[in-house]
Amino acid sequence: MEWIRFFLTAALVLAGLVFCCISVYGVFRFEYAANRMHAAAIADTMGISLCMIGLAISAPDFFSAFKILLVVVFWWLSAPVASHMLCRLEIKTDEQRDEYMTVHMDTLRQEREAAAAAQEAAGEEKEGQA
Amino acid sequence: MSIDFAYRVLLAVTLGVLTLLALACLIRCILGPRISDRVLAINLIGTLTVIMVAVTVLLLGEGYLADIALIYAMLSFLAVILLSKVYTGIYEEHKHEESLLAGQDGKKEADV
Repeated sequence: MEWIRFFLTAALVLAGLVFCCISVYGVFRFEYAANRMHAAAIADTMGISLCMIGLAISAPDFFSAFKILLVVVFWWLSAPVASHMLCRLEIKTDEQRDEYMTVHMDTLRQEREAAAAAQEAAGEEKEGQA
Repeated sequence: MSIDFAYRVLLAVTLGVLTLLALACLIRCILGPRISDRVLAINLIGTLTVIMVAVTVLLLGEGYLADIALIYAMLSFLAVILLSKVYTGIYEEHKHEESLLAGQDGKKEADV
């Protein structure tokens, strides 16, 4: 029984460590802060939750296990807020953003074109009725 | 091999790997070209430190270290929020000052 518990802990903690390694590698690999945020979120979710669940399985008493799981719950609630604030900082302060964040600009242009086309079509319909 | 020894080896290896990852994050924090890269690296260091504190709960067998992990998580969250807010504010202040200066110059030129 003790060994089963140990192997469960070892498997979960080592899996969490692998996710943390992937996250840090991604933070070095990507080039822009918004892309890096994507890699850093791996450690914020999978890494910390797998490690903490593994550690809670073989915690010394019930209350420490409960507190360790509480850390995971708190982290799941706080990490999206922190990422949101960080992304807002990046979006507001980066003046060369349009040079590499092209998806947003393309979508905006397409939406405007679609809206203009819809307006034209509506206008033609009205003229036809008149 | 006793189970205590196995636990100790596992937790020591985990702590070592997490320390190396945190050092790598520190390097990223120093290298990071923009301020958001640095804040991001600090956030990641906070995550790794919370895991490290939770590992020491098992390594030392002390329950109260779980409270420290919880408090560290809150402090790390607060630090990231505060740094983002402060740097956004500093940037907007600089921009406001620049626009004011540009407005003065424009006025002077118009007067002349």
